[in-house]
Amino acid sequence: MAKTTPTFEEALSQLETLAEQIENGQISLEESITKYEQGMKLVTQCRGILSKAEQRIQKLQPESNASPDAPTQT
Amino acid sequence: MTRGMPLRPEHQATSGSPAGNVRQERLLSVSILTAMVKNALADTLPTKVHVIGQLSNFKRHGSGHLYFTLKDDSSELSCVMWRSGASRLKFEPENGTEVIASGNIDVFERAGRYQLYTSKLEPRGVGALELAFRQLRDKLEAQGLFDPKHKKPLQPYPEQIAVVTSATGAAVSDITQTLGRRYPSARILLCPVAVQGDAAAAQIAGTLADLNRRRGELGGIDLIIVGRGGGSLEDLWAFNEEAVARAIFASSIPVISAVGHEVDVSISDLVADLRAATPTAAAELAAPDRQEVLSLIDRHEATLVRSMGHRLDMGKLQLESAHRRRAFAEPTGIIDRRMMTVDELASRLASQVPHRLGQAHDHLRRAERLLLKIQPHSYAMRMDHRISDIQTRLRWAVAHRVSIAVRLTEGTASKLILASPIHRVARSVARIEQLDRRLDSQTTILIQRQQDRIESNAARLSALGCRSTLRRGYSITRVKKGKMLVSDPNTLRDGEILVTETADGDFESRVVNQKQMELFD
Repeated sequence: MAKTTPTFEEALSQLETLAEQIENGQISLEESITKYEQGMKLVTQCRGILSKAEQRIQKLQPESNASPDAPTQT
Repeated sequence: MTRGMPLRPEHQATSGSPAGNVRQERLLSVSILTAMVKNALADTLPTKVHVIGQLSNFKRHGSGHLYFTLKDDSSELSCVMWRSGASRLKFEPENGTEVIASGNIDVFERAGRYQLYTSKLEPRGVGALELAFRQLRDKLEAQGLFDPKHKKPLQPYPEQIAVVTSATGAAVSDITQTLGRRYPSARILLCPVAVQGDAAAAQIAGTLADLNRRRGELGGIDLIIVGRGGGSLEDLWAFNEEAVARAIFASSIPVISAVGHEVDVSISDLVADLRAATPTAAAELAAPDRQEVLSLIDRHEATLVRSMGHRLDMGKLQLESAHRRRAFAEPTGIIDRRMMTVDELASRLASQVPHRLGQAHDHLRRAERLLLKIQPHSYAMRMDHRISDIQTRLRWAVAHRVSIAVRLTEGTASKLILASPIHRVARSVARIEQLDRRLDSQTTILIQRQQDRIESNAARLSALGCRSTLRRGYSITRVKKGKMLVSDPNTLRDGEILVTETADGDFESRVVNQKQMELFD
């Protein structure tokens, strides 16, 4: 699932790139508008990830029985 | 040593002893003297001594016992350390090290030598652990485990952080609280291990290896924090073990090491990709503060809005300036300018036409002159001559070719006639006739020869027949010419030569008078 949706880091760096591209003014106005819209979407997305998150803590479970190299199971 | 012996030698005056003039004393065996020394030492020295000296002649025997010498500027002391004590050593003794050796002095009777039986050996100035730490640090450093080039960069926004520490210590709560406050987006995977005691190092190293191996199965791990809270050097010792150092070095997941307090530096700290002074500090290094990230997002958003606005303003300006341009401001201007161009072109055209006409005229005139020079009549005459010349040559050539052809044909025809069957038959007949003639003449010649032979043989036969008659005085007369026998004189002519045969030879005679002979008859 990490593969299909961009990670937070990816989203953030994408946002940064978009902002820079519009700032440079080297792209057409039409492109700027498209990128602006993309950027704003990413802003909402990133903020959402950060604000909604509640800490999740898990404990490392011993390896399952299916694992071929779990010496304690044999 | 079996007998109780007086320690004071007894003085006895004896005469005639082999020692001669030596003062008379009691004779002692080596064993007894050695025992006396041993006892004297045991009586006078404390049971445990601590000796400072420099290690030398250090030898680890196959049995596990250690043999070495302690020395200072002026003296040396033999030392031995049994295997049981040697196995508890926290550092690797090296020649030249200043050490404090603790133990008891005793005499090794067999060698006649006193030795320090060492129960504890510590490097002087630093504790054994301290020395061990330095030794392992030096070794790993030499192997490049601390090299900055091996340090992996940390992911700036980790999604899952594994925390390898005691389940009960302060470290785990420090880390989870700090992360929860600063960056709750990161998931935390707690990996409880013993952080002190004999099993600690193996557990820590094993867990680090597990996390790397099961990384995918565990949903991806971006960072490992390994460590514990403060304690004595012994308490922190697991983090100075080689196994832990190797496991941290082998980890493909970045590792932050956080052991003890600010002042404590462990081997783990040195190998790890990042060292944190405390577990709390590790949590702060592990992830950014959410507020900071939010303000970064705000900044990006502001940049987006600002530069978009700027871009739009720029577009508007461009539009306005375009609108203000002459094309839009005075649209007829363009048409006027185009008209001017057309006019100009027309006038250039007008000036060009007469010039071109003049040029054409010149051309025409030149062509006319050339044409006149050629004189068509003489040209026709020349052509006529050439044609008739060609005609004549053509006729000659044809006649020549025809005559060649005729000759060729005649030759072929005569060859053909010669080859015809009639001729061949005639030739054959002629040949047969010729052969026939040759046969005839040959036969005649052959017959004549045979006749001649027969005649001459007959003549010789008849001659032989009359030989006996000749002996009796008879003779045979023949005409010399023709060999005809003369039997009738009337056949002879005057002057004819005759040959007469007698028994003993021939003679010739001439007919003188044929008539006379008649008369004679």
